[in-house]
Amino acid sequence: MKSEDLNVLVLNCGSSSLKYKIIKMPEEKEILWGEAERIGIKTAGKPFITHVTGTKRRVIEAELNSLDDAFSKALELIKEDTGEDPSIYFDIFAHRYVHPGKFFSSTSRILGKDIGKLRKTLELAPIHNPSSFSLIEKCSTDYTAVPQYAVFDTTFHKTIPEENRTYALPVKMIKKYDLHRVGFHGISHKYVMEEACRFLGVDVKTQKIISCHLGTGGASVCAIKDGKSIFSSMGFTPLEGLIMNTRSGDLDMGYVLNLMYSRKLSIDETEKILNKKSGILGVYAQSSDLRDVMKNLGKDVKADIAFSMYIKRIRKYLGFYSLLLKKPDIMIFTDSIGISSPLVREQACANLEFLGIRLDKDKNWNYPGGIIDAAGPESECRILILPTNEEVMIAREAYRRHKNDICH
Amino acid sequence: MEEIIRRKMSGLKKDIGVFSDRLSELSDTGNGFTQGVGDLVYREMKKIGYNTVTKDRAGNVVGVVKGYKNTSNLALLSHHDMAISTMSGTGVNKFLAGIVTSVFTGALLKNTLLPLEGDLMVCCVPRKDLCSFGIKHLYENSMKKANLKGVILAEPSNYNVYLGSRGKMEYQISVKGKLDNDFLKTKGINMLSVMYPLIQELENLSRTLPVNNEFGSSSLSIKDITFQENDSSGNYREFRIVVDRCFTDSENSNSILKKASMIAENIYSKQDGVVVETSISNGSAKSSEGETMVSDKKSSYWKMENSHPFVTNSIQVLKENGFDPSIGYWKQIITEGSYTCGEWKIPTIGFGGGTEESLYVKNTPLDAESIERSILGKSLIIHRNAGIPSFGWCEDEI
Repeated sequence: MKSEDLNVLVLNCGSSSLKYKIIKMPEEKEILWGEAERIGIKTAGKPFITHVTGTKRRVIEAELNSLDDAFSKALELIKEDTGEDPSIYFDIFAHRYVHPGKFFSSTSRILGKDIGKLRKTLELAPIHNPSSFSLIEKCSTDYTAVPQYAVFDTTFHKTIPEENRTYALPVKMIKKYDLHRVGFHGISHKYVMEEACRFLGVDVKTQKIISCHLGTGGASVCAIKDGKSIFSSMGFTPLEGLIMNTRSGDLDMGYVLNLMYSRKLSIDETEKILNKKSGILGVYAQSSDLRDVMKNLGKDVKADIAFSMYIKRIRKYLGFYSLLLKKPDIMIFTDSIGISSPLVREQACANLEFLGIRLDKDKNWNYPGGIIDAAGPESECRILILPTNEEVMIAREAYRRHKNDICH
Repeated sequence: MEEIIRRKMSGLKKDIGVFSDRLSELSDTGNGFTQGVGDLVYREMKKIGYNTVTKDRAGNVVGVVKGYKNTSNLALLSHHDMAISTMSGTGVNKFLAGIVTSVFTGALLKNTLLPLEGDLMVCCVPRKDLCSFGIKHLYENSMKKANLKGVILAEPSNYNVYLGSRGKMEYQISVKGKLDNDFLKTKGINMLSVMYPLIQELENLSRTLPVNNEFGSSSLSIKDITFQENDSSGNYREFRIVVDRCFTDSENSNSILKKASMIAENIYSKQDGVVVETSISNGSAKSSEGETMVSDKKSSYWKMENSHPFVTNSIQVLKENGFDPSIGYWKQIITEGSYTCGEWKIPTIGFGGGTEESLYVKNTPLDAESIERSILGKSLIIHRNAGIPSFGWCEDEI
């Protein structure tokens, strides 16, 4: 074992799930991974944990009434593995934490005094922050000897300049309520940025990048200049920007107000429409999954319209960002739709030659997996298809911070 | 976020079942039962992980789910009756279901990890007859300081939102005089002739009491008549009539007492040396913690405005989640709302499964489905009124 070796236990939790992974740093080797699902839920199936070490895969049903239970079970399984193979262990915890507000501006080691600060952020991402917070709180009381780090989903966007960050609302209101573009998927955008530059052998500090994180649920496009985010399609919340599975994305607020007034809709009903019933689901009606839409192109007018709207919204940002960056050097497609759908990539890049973007048809349609440059030979912009890996980015960030903390 | 609440409900079923069974198994009498309920609730709240759990001298058990801003504090109230004779008798389930649903509403909200703005105080308070010892003690000692935004009563409302209950009081008219003035000179049947005019006037009054569209009729019934010799020589005699009264918006305890006094004085004050006194009855009880408590037997009429945001928000969230609630009022039972809303002016609503009528059916088992639905409804109401909004956020994947 080299002195700089460090095993990072990455923790990424949702309201009913906990994903964990031990990553050996700095080589970024995955030692084990697992996922607890259906935490606190018992309907048809019981909660269970999938735990994978090397080639050994175990699926264990367990009483997982809370995130605490799931975490304890995961640690118990890891301990069993350590008994069999001493190289399986962890040195630090690294938590994915969505939105730290103004309290943290970069990956941070969380000490006892920071718990109070984190508590103040719960309302900023009310579905995601509380889960991560509860684990951090548990680790700070039950595992005091293990350093823990929080890696934030929004801090990559802290560099967005003021004119892109603020909204055209009364300045007093902006200040009073701290209204600004926050931007999300920061861990993913940063990962693909670093990987793209490493793959192309270029310095991240000299590149103009458009990163398209196109998931089956959420999606965002980020403009990156010289290694810094300068715009994100997601705003104060993840609702703004691209058309997503059930989210409308950009919308005329006048129409929303009109709808609330004329239909006597409450705030909650309106929010549910915008967040849960719109997007692909709203237009296509039969499914919220873009892949279902694509299967019915040419056969169903609603599918045609939904797909066209989805693509045009991406192109709106590609055009805007190309102007913002004065033509991109690199364009990246990532996450499930970004990786698996050549049609989306083709349509998104169609007729953008004037911006220096030319996709190679064969490379695009015959993507073999991994990282590839799918740009045509005459393209000024490299067009990368690049699977994201948020867990590695979280481990990387925590590792860097830990090393830095030790040195200072 | 309501999906999270609904989903997490399923994970609590087993614990709800175990707790309900334990509660149903308690079969002590008197304070033994009260003590048992209090202890069980206390232990369950601790096990669930309420942020704080306390038990006070009056026997109130309060579990707090901490909020993050110390604003929009809410209380969820259930009660348990003191000194009932057996668990399987009439009226037992009326509080069992309330207790189970309250305790697990807090559990459900904790499990979702959805942040609340203010604290949720889940309170299980003892009550005896018309004496709400628990709630009064609780208010004076902690609830007053909590600056509550609203109270939810865990009483049966058939999944509707109930906004009031009748007032109820017990008062007594005492008529006494000296024997040498021929007052009550004979005993037994003959004595009744002296009492009869008052009994008849009360009977007449009971036929002319106001009727309220929402709460039904006011009522008057004579609960007890007693005769006693007030000094050792037997020269000073008294009869006492104890009256049960239910009333609504056009009356209150003072006006009722004044009216009773006027009727009695009209009949007896013409006689020399006869004194008429009216007063509200009081009752006493010893709490499970050994505290002797005394209280007037009166509960105020109360009614919430149905346009109050606490009401409209609650109706709205229930409608959005598959309930079909309407506004209603309890016509028979008396609730802690008499204090929370009637006297302390805290916005109060009631929500629960089952009907008032079902409270009077013997040996009704706790219905698991009804309890789960009731927990879900209460959690939704609490979250809509005190939860931190999640506008723009979806579950799990961003």
